[in-house]
Amino acid sequence: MRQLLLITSITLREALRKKVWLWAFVILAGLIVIDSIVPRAFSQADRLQMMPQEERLRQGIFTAQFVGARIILFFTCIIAIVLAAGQISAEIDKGVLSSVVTKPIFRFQVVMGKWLGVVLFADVIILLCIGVNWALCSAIYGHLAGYAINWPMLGVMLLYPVLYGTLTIAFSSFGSMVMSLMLTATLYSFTFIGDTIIHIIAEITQNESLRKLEVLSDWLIPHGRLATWFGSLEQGMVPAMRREMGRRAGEHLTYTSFDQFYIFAYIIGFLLLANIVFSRRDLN
Amino acid sequence: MDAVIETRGLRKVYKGMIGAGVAAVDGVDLTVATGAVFGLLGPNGAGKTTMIQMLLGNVFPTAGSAQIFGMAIGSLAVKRRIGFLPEKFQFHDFLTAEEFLHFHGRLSGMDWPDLRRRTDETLSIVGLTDRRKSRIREFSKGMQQRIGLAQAIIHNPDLVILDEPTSALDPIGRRQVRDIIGELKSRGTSVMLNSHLLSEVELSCDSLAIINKGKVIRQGTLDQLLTTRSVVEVEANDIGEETLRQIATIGSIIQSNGAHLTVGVERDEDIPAIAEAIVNTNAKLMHMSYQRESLEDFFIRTIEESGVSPSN
Repeated sequence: MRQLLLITSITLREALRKKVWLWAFVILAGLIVIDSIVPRAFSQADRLQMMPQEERLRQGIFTAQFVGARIILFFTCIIAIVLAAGQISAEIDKGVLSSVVTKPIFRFQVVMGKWLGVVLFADVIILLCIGVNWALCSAIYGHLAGYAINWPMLGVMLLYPVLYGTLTIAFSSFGSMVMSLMLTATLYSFTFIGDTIIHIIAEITQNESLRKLEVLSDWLIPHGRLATWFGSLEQGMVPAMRREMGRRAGEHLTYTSFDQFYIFAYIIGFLLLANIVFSRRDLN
Repeated sequence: MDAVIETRGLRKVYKGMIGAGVAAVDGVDLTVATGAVFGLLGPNGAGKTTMIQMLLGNVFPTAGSAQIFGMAIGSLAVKRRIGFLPEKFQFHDFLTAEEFLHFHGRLSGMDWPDLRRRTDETLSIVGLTDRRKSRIREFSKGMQQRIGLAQAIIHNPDLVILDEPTSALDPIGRRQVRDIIGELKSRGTSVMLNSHLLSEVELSCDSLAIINKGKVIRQGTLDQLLTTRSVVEVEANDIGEETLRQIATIGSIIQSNGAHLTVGVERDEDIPAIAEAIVNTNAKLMHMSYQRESLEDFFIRTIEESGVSPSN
């Protein structure tokens, strides 16, 4: 365990050195802009004049939180991918790992230590950004922004970097840094297109092939399943108007226990793959 | 003789996209005595680094077997007793020298009191005590190699494997490394040294193996290998055909340039025989000197005889 934690600590320090945490400032800048503009825009919107002022502001705050959560998730997934891509093959190529793996350490400890470092780093940034976002809204809007922290929702948010970090580490166990980035980006693009463009076109056209393509994208990478899980938890907090808008837009925010199982099985599966590949490959 | 390293028919084939692949190491039998300083020599691409990586458990052999301390290579019990300085050294350069040694010492399973004591000692051994708080990225290439050497010896290993340990060092640094190797040897630590600097190997090693095209072509102690052929430089006037013919029956004439002859001999008793041949054929012997073949000459000759130029 000590060896594993040593690898985790060096991975965290490496992440700090690479200044990937600067992305947190990009996220926070985005949150500040959204938190200051969106709720005010809602409270001043002519089309919402039939609602009481306080309710309009509440809707605006929720929408700002909704958008903010997605900004946080998008950038922390990028952070996890960028960090994970340089962990294994790139360190073998550079020669950094050659003096580490000759120490009395199992190879799985190297993989798990690095994985833990990447995931911890990205998740700490999520927690930091959520904390700042909450503090910011409370400071600007007082009691209107006060809502109980939804722990399950927070837990699901933390799974996003876990998913992408694991996937990229697995690719990094056999491919170069560029290859790992490309493979993860390709899968991410496919699932993004599957969940948005293909989904919409399939709904409109009722085309069976497009539906199959959408399903395939959900199997290849369970981003959509995770998004549905996250969205359904978020829905519990959605003010009535936003819920109605979602229903009209045809949102299907129901997830099954199989979706949850698949997400965890997928993460564990890729983690196992990374360990198996790394334990069997030549390091020269 | 107790062997610290023993390999039997060790082979590594790298498979290509097509064809049968390339044998980087091809059936190597190697024995390194406990407490010896052993040199592994060979031209570029001979298979030395692959050989070392297999011994360290980083590369899996295709066939054959290898043992270190009588145990299977790559096991944690073996790794605990090995120190390694890689040829392509690049470390976590955001760490200070002290943090770097702490990291590697902890990875090696050392406890804090021992680690603190050994950190001071090893920094002093490699001459970096005054730079202990400096980040490795601020170090010169030579200093990085020295801190690399420090991480290889911090846990007092029984076997130290050094892959080109002096490649980035100036003559003073090389001398320091030679002294460190001597110090390790005096404490009974076995050392395996892979170096292109043949003079370093000659000064440091007790025994060596020359590897080419993945095969060991010569192996033995330095004395055994270098006394098999010596060179006699002769200066004599009136050297005629008969003189050369007689000398050629005793040794091999490497160079003949008027009054100057260079003759290779296999045995010590060939030397007076050459002098006798000169005198008997009425040539006038002016000067004669004997040189043992240097490791460099021996290495180049051995590689040439095996059919591949050292520059390959």
